[in-house]
Amino acid sequence: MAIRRTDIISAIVAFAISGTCFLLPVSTLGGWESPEPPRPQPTLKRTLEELNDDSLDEAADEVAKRPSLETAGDTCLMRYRLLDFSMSQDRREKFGIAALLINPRKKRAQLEGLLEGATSYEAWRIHIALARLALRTGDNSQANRQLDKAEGFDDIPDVCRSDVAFLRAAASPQNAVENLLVARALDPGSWQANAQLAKAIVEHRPRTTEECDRLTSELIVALVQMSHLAARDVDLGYLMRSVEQNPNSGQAALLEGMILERTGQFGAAMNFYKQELEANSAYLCATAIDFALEDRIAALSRKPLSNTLGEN
Amino acid sequence: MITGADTEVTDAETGFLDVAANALAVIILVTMVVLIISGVPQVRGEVTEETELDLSFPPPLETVTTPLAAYYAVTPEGVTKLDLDAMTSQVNDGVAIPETDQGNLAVRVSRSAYRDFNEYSAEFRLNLENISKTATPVDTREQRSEFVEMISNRFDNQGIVPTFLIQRGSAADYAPLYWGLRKADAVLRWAVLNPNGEIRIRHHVGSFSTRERRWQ
Repeated sequence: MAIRRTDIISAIVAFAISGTCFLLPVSTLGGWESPEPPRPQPTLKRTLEELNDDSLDEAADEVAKRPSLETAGDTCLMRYRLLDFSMSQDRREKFGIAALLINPRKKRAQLEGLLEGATSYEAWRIHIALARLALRTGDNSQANRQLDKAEGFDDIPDVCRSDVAFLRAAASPQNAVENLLVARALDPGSWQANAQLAKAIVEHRPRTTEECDRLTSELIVALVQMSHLAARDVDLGYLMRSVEQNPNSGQAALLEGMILERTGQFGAAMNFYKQELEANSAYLCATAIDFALEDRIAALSRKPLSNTLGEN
Repeated sequence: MITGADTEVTDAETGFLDVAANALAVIILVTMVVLIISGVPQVRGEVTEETELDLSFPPPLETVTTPLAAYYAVTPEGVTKLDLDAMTSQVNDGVAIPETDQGNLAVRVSRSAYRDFNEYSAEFRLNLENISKTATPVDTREQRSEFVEMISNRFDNQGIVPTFLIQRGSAADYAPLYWGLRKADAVLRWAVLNPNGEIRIRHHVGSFSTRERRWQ
């Protein structure tokens, strides 16, 4: 049977249609995308602009919508479904037993016994577990040694390398802010990385005005991200309560005001900002904080009335 | 000639019919495939049954890592420290249902777990009759304050947080101790045991779906 011209056309059209139909949904189905490389160091002015034109919120919302994200997960494997990571069933059972054991010495022995013959993913996970255990027992140097080992593995996803930086911040409190900035950049979907970063910034005493500027903007980014990750207003409320112990920090005041804003208490936020602006005494970060407070007051004044109704 | 022209027209019609039919078939096929693939709901976190006891710590305990734990059973006779590790360790030796004087344990690590490797489900069935034989009484004020001091010291020095498992019906015996601990600002968690002395402890992704983390 001779091939007709119309047959060829029909085949081409059918191929084109099927190709389009298939590729379109597949392209939208893909799993979580690897995080973007860390942003360039933001300035406070630019961050406030991004806050006011909603681009900061849009980026935060993207992160919060990542498939399979369970933001409060303590490890990357709890936060995301990472199918590359696997562990054989018998080793998995032993690892589960290590988690169930209560005595730290027994836990450690169980975990160390699993290191022999472990694949690199397994070994990475075991070192993270050992680092956590060391932190629980207050042995920071042991935690750092385990984290050094965890850092030595290649092909570990960024969201997991975030865990190393996060635990490093706890094991080396003197570099907490810098390590938490790395942890947050590698996985902005981690509630703990954002929350601990916010707390660390509030507790940190900057040495230069540039540092004030940079950390204040990082604080704003962290808070916007958390407001998208939070399941309930009370999640932010707990954070507010934990920073209230630092009444003298301008950053704490900004954080508290922004939490009020993000939980719909616009009137209270406005009063809080104004009060803080008046009370703000002369200290190193006063310029940066005042700049941010004034910006928030102006932003709240621009808000349409409908948005400010129903506040408490 | 007329016949030839007719045939040409019929060819063209057939060709377009082919196009339409093929395209329709492909669209149906692709739609089915897409429906099957995307039909799996993208749930944020997993829906899990809540059958285990709620062992959440009070929210102010906002630590980077979880504190170390200690378990105590509360019976009308008093408080007994539990050695759950004595049961857990036996699983390594291949004992299916490890048992000690204090009770037995059934532990399961699901094959279908697809999050972290440390997911488990453990069911301790406490032998409360045996346990009550070794109980430390906390009836008098002195006995209670001594116990509270020990608990506070263990938290201050080693970061160990106690979990009290209350025998059903012993709440009245536990109440004075509880308020003693609360007065001393001790961090603790407690739960009432099932009537048969069972407690189920799980570590899984559901433990992280709220910030009230539960842990071992």
